[in-house]
Amino acid sequence: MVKWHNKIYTYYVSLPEGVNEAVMPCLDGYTIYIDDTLDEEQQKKAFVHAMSHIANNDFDKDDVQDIEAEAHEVMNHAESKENSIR
Amino acid sequence: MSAQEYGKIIARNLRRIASDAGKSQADIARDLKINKATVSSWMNGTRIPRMEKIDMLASYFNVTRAEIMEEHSSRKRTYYLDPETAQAAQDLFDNRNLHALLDAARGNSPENIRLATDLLTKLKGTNPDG
Repeated sequence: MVKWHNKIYTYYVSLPEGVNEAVMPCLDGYTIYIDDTLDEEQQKKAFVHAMSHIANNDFDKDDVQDIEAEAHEVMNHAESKENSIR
Repeated sequence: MSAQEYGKIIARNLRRIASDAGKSQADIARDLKINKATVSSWMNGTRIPRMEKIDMLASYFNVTRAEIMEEHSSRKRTYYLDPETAQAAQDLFDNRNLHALLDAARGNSPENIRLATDLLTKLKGTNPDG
């Protein structure tokens, strides 16, 4: 659950190839690093992906394969829904 | 099998079953009149629900006890294609100083995940938010 007193710090940095974003807990919230070579649309998607991990309490879970499978399923579902509306 | 491993199997099953049913931890706590912290502890594997609670959950989700209690390895979801890449991502998540999750390509190499780990370690040391 995103708590309203949690702060979200976002930084744009050059990440390794094939890594769009990283998110991690910090002292008073979460830090998100987004690859600065992505275009604006891709950076938005990367940010949404990071926020979905926070909102989904993924930091309380234990299996990264399961966490990422679910996060990407949700993102793909949201994208296909958005495309069907357009 | 240790109690910890057993707790993780139940937690993984509960998360999958809840996700399939579109139920959040808050929904489960409210609908079954169970403390939120208790539901959270079941879902992250730190506590194992008693049998009466497993029956309650099975009835709530309309699944069998076995669906909750037994390992269903064939149903384990995967994202990263290369087991070594998956392990590198798991190591990053299990790293107590970082505990980070990535948005990385499924076919990414373990080297890139390790590079990201090194970079995050350096960045964490320099950012004021810690």
